[in-house]
Amino acid sequence: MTALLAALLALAAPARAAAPPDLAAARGLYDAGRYDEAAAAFESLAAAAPRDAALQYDLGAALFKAGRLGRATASFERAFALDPRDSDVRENLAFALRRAGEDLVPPGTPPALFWLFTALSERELAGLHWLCAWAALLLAAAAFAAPRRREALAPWAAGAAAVWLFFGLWWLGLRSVLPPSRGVVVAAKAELRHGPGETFGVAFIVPEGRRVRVLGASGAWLEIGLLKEGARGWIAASSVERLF
Amino acid sequence: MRRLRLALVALALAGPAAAAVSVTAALDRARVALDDSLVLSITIAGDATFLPEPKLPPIESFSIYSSGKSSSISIVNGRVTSSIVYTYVVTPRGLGKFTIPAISADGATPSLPILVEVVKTAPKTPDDPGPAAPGAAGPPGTPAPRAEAPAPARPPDGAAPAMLVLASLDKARAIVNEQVTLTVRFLYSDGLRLVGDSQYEAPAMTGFLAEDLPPAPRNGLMTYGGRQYAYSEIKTALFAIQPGKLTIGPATVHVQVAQPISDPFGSGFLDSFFATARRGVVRSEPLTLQVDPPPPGKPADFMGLVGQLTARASADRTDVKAGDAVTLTLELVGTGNVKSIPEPAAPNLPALRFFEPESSVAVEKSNDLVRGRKTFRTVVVPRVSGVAVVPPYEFSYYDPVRRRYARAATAPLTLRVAPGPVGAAAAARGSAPAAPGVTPIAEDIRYLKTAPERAPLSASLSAFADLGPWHALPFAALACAALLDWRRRAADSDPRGRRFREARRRAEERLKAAAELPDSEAPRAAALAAEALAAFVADKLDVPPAGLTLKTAVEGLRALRRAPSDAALEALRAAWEEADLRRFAPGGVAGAEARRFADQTRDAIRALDQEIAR
Repeated sequence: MTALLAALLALAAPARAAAPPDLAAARGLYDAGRYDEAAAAFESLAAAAPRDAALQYDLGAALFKAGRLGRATASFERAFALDPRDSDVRENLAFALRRAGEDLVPPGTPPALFWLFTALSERELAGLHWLCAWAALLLAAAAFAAPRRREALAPWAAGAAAVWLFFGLWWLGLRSVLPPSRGVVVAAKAELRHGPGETFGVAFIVPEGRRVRVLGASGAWLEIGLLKEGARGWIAASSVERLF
Repeated sequence: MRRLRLALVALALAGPAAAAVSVTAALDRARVALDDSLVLSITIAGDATFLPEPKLPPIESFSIYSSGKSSSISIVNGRVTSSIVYTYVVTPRGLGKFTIPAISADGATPSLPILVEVVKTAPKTPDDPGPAAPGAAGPPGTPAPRAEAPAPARPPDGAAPAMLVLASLDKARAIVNEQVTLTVRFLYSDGLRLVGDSQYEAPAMTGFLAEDLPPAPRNGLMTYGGRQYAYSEIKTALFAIQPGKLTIGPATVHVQVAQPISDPFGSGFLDSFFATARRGVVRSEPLTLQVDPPPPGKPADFMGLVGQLTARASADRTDVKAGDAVTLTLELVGTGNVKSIPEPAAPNLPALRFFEPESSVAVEKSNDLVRGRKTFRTVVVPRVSGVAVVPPYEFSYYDPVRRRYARAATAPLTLRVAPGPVGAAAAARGSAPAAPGVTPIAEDIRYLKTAPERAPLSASLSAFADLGPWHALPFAALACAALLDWRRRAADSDPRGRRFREARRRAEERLKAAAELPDSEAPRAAALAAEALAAFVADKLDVPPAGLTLKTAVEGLRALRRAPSDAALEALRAAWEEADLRRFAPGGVAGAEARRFADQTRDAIRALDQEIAR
């Protein structure tokens, strides 16, 4: 059983690709203070490797230096979703959020609890969830198939099922707190209206870089909820960059 | 209310003067025509907050009129440096060389006396209205004015007064802090003879800031209501400080008019020497001005100035070391009440420390327009090396000519800062000496990922989570195992059926065991084959193998729901009989015979197993 899981993990683990040849060029542009060009270079690299947290981090840094707070925050958010234990990612995301009047740790939440809750990424939790599911199910199947070893296998299967349940609930909780339908306002002083169109009045002015939850869409408009204020309204789709 | 006097005025002093106060007096020129005027500037300067007013001594040969004052105050590190310039217009009364005596102020060093020469000039033709005409400023003779009776602003029908005061504004509507020019003219008829000092009492100007506009007075001749008048004119620039309908009170002139005594000679000669003076007062009508608030669209940083403005910033040097001081000068030049320009906020730059600025202002009043230059000087100390940019200073104002808000901005200043001596940055913070430590300069994001690396386990978990449909495999395995277990449990609940189903497997096991025996044990192998055949039939019939005979076996097999064919039964019979023959044959069995018998038995068992069913 262990050998089987190890083999599955080995098959699933992608080989780490070598650094693209133009990564050094992108860093060179950044070091030269040509932040717009560096952001464009990092963006093309990140598009080829969307699961690379380091590239999302670098892209966010270049965008931030180029003065595009909203898009920088979106990139840092993606990096945080991919690698939440990286202190640089946390630091830069928190720094960018402070510029938009928001804190990374939700108000009223003990920081230690937040860091513990977000210690694993959503994909890592999903992987652990499925890994435990495989272990629990295969152990249970073995117990069915080998009646003579059933008594020995049953406690292992039950333990794996308990861990499966634990990671499953954690995974669902994380998806509830940080849902994939998040976005970031990328326009300066974006107008949040009462309906999907300019015929509706403006309800709020949302600063660039503010995180939102996308609740729905209608044409070129998105219905969003402000995570911090709890308000909701409609905003031009071009003013929001969705994270995933 | 401020009082401006048209003649020599003794000014009361407000209080004791500070220690270092000086008085300086200067004339714009040393020679003047009899019909012309001089400008006397008296500067009181010192490091006191309140400066004394000058004490003008009696000057018999001249008429002196106050033309206003201009003040400048700057505060540097709590020390006040101020100066006030009092401007007077000096009009000669006779020809010759005269001396303006020393002018003093309380607690101040007096000024030096000034020599001035008054010369004759050719007479000029008066114009209406026009500049000062020869003799126009001098007091004319009779008739006497109406004592203590305000003169009408407009001449009554059919009779123009001997003297009157007219006040007017250059506009009827203005916005807050926009310049409005108040003109007050004292008109007196040609024949009127004024004696002594005439005193001008400025109107009440509540809600305004006032700036006197030189020169004052401006003398001339004009026709009003069909009557020829000489006039003295004073102009004042007003800046409303609040919106609404503001009122400017009446301007008042206190005069003394010569009243002739009886002349027995009738020649008028005695009038010149023996006339008596009669006091009188003339006032203008009050004025109203509609003051509007700043127009809509006011920028958030609107500083209240109404006029036109340019801004310029400069630094005494641009190549410095960290910790060195750079003097940053900010000059604002324009029209309007430039004194009201507030001190600009220092940029919040972590790399530069800005000290409190000092300010100075110079006001110029020409062509009845108040303009000036306000200068802010501040010391800037770079904290760290590198390129430091002082961002543009921006000033928002309202341009009444273009009727829109405008913005004056300085150009950004770039300072190239070289590393300074150790501790320069800490010294630039201006704090007391402290223990060495980390000096925070600025917050910024962290640098790029120099060695991007991701934990293999994390990558494997993420990839494993993305297996998609493969995650159905363990569920399928569990389902298969559960199904197998269910079937097993079902079989265990039917022992006869299980014996029937497993009959062939058991027989095969016995035959396999027989085949594995060596030739030396051929009799035992033959016995195992015979036992396998008997046990197979017994399992199929669910009877004990011990008492089973060929006859009962054939009968039992034929009684099954699906009986075997005759060929199968014949094969059974042959194998059974062969077994009996081997079992009782004398001399034992050879190995080859035992293997042939085992094959025969296997064929018979397979034939039966394929054809029979319970």
